[in-house]
Amino acid sequence: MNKKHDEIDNLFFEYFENNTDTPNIIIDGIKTALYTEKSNYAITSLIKKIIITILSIIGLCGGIAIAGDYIFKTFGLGKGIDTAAKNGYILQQDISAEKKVDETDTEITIKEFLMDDQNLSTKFSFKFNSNSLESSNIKNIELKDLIITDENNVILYCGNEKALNEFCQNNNVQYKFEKFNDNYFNCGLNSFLAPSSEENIIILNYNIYSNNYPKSKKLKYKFQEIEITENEEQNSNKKILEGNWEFNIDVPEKMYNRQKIAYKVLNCSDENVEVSTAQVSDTGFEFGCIIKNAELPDELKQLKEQIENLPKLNISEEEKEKLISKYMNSHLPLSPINSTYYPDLGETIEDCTYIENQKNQKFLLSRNPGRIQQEKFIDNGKTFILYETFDITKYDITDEVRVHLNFYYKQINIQLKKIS
Amino acid sequence: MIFEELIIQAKSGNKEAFTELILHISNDLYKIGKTRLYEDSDINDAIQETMIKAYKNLKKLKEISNFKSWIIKILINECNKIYIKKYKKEKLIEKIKTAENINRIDNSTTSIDSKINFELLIDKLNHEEKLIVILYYNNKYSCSEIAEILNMNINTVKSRLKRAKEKVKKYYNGGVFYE
Repeated sequence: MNKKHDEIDNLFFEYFENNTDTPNIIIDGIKTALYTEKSNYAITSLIKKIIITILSIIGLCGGIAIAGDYIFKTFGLGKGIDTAAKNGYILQQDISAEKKVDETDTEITIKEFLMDDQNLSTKFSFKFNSNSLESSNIKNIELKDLIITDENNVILYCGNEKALNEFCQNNNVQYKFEKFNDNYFNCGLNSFLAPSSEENIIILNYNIYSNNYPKSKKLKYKFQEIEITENEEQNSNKKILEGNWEFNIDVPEKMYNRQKIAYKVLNCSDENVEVSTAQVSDTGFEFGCIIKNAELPDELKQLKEQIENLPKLNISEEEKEKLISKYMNSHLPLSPINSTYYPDLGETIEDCTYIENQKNQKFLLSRNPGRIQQEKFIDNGKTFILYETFDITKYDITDEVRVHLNFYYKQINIQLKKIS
Repeated sequence: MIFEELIIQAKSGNKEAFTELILHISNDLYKIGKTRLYEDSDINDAIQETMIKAYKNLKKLKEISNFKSWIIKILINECNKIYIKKYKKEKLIEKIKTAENINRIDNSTTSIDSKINFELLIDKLNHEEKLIVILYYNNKYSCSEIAEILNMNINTVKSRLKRAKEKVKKYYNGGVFYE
């Protein structure tokens, strides 16, 4: 017994040490709290799932992970990219600006870089030496006029019209802003700040994505205007830093020589499924198929519509609860392909869509906003087209894999084999 | 170290990091919630509201080392809100019933050792005593830290802690609880 503590003290200590169980409702509530502001667990979890599913289908919601506690690492693009980076598919070296002019003496370094057919990701480190900028107050950084080009003068990204016009003038070409072509790519951007372990340094992840980037060997980054947004306490101040920054990147050979490996169908459990694409890259597995006779039976169609419109239904809370139970028991997902895993709603992995390798490892659909994705009905709803990317990569794949599709209430299994 | 890294990530807007932080301390928060609220669903509501408020105001947290005590303060307020809204009337009724039961319990309890349920003993303490006991024995805060969290005078904390111990000790030895 501790000399400072008496018998009662020790009883207390022992009691609390031995009572560490937290009820599931608390754990589940914590996991979902930030995704809803209501306190009714069952209904709000479902509403959240509805919202996220709808947003996912229209490609706006790539970064939310509800299942498990996986925290996105490298560029915040999910497991596939992280696996690639862990296996060396990343350029990690400090690249300083070749040319740099600015009054504030802001030090910008490119720390990491990754490129494949869909992704062009760059991690910048910012050190603000000016007294007027405190990195802990910064909420957002935007490179307003960033333009990224390659050795063939292909524009891989262009932030604004001013940057495009300057490029056209210097290179004797005539492009119109947002009139994309083979040499001027249409891109999306997903950027966010991340902390650094070093003082006064802030990290900016700039994830640019497009459909089919060329196999560029040398990239040039150029920007002259940086917009800094400070936090709400200071009334969301926006400050502009002006200067002239240029960076050159030698793309690693494994990136410009990247290749995809194709897979063929060995067998499929549903004759209505025709596989159109099955290929693995360094960062993910692209899978495409057509599902014929895809209509839902009427009863399930009605249930699906009710659940999708649940927030707007003019029924009592008790009736809503009954509807949710009915939906749960029907195992009917909200989108045709159940692409996201919700264990807190009682789902098992078999309720989801995944790829399994020969090591019995299962890989879910990627949440990377840059992935090529299509889920749509054609032919008056009789045929469903699916194109998705899974988080299994060249580094996890085996000669044979199994695709498990949860299409509405049907479990479809497709066995694939590498084409040698 | 990983806890501090999660706070840094959460401060820069990473929801997943913030959620993982709260999961790390979920049992502490649950126990604190239980000092005030009786239903797990109410404790869940309080913790969820705490998370939402804390996440929105995380940038105001200057010292990372104060994260836990800061969250606990918010949680205590949220629990109090639910308590006032829902329990006050019910508690009053329960108190009357409990007062009627005390004599019966004391009279029937002769062989204490075989019947001691420590959880019941803690449950007999009033709300403030329970909270101080949990912060002291479970979270291992000092009296001065507890005083800061509860916005109390340190001597008040010490005397309430002492009183809680005395109550439990007395009952442990076959005595009577006084409110």
